[in-house]
Amino acid sequence: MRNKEEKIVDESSIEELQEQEKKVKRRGSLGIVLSLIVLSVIIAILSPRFLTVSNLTNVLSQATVSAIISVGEFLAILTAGIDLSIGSILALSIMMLGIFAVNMQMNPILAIMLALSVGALIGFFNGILLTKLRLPHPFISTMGTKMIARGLALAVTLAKPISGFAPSIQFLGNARIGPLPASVLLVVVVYAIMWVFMTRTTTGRHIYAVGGNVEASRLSGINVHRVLLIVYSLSGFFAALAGLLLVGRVNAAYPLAGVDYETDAIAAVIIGGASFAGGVGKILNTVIGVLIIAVLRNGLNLLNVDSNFQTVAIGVVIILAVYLDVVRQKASVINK
Amino acid sequence: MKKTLIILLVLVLVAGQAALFAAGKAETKSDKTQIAVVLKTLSSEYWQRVVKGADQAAAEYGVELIKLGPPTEDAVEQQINMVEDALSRKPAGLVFSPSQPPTAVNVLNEAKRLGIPVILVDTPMPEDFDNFVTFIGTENYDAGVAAAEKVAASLGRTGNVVLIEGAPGNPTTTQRADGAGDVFKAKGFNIVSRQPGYSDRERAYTVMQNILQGNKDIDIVFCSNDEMALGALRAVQQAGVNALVLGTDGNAEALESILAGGLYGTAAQKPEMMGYLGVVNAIKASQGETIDKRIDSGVDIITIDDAQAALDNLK
Repeated sequence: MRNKEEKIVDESSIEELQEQEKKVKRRGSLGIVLSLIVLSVIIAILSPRFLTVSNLTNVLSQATVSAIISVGEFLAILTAGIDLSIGSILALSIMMLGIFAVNMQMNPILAIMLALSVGALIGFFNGILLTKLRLPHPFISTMGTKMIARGLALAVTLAKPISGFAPSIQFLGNARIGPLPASVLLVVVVYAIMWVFMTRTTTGRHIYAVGGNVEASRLSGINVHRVLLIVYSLSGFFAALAGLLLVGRVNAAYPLAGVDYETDAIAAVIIGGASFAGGVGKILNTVIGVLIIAVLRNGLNLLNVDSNFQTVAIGVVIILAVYLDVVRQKASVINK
Repeated sequence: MKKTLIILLVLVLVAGQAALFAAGKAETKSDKTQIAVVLKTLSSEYWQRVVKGADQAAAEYGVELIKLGPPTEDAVEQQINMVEDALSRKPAGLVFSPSQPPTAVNVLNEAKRLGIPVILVDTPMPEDFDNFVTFIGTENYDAGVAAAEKVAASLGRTGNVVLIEGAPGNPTTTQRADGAGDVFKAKGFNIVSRQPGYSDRERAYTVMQNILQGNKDIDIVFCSNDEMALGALRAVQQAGVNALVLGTDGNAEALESILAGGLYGTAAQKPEMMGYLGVVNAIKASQGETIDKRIDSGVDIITIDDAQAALDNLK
């Protein structure tokens, strides 16, 4: 008897989720892509420099670090959580990369793999805090981790930056494959893989389910702890991968790297239409959110706009996007 | 549909705002020579003074400036992005102050490839990097040395010293503290504590309060910028300690504090001079003139004797 009831809860909640997704997000996607296009058109009209090949390549490569780090934030927000530590994880991972690759002269591939593992491990630690130590909300646990990782990033080299990375380590962030920066291709590959992961695998669907309704997910037999551990480990991993791109872009690892990157990532995810309530959001919209911020910044730079007003503009866009989230939730309540 | 419209509307508003700022500035299609000026930030008095000098040179020589800088000095990647954006406008020269010098190597190599001369101001690049025309700035180490020698002579005896520096890894503020520290050590002073105040008034205030918890017997506090000096001064005064507090930069507020009997002195850099010389030398370099690889913009140790004159000079 009991088993049956639990099954029912599960199916109805998952169906509910799926329906909500279908209804709300078709239109959401269109809106955000349109916004990006309109924004680009306006900037192109105002500045003839915007639509040059060199500038567009610039914008794309400038967006890559944020695009990669936002994948992890997307996953965390999708589970109704948040990851405030990604900027600091980025910093600690690249300082370790510097120590492995430059100071210890390790094999570059090995050094990269170790640095990525550092990121994934700290992410896993975030997951443990949440699931095993049962800290009430990832806002608190990842804020703690944020400080720990930043402090360690400063401590490992006594705050000195490390430069002089081998070309093989700079490859992803700096090289070009044909006309395109390698970093842009990496972003395409990562988003393609993540799209498949989120939409075509059981674990991906479980992540949506946990974000939509933790209790129903647990009752229906989803291992919620496992899902959260995977999500936060991935978040840490992507922070480290973003760091690898950053190191290639600027040919240096510095301990104050990634300060406030979590803010930009959260903004991109929210502008991309993911809901803070969890369970709703599309991975591909996140990269559009990243591009909107990047195009806005680039456009305002081309137009000589004071950077303080750039911050204001991005703030306006975030508030607008969250307002849309509110409108969307109202709409879904009415639909019920 | 409604929300799509709202999104569009606000984006249009935002872009329209941008257009207002830009109107008459960026895209006026003037035939004037353009010089890009990318600084660590534009949001502090010090960097505004650099801008003031740059503007003066631009007016004298009839060139147009592209002025960019992130909201804070630790937005390092954003600064590099701004250099890329500035380069894509093909300016005749770039006046640049790197927030974290090693991170600017790739982008300055790109400037070299594009044939755009780079003039560094305030902060130099790492020693092994050579793709720039000249570095214009204070010898930060020397500024610390000069300040320490003056205050040591004024105190007339040895004593306890506190050093408060900027963000760890910031060479400018670190070297100033190094310069001062070396003089104090050589003269037999006891360095009680050396800590980062992140170039921030409030952080330095807290740091100084904590130091005073452990030891109230402090004679001299040297800070790597004026903001931190004003913060440290507040802590010192509240604790009722009679220490000589020094800053670096020579900002208006520091000078006013000196006149009011607060700070002992400040090692005044000449940021207007950096901005001015930066733009002038960028123009010269773009015309193919040869320029010295290092130009010293000088330093003055300002105390109560000359604070009024320095303050008048600022206004």
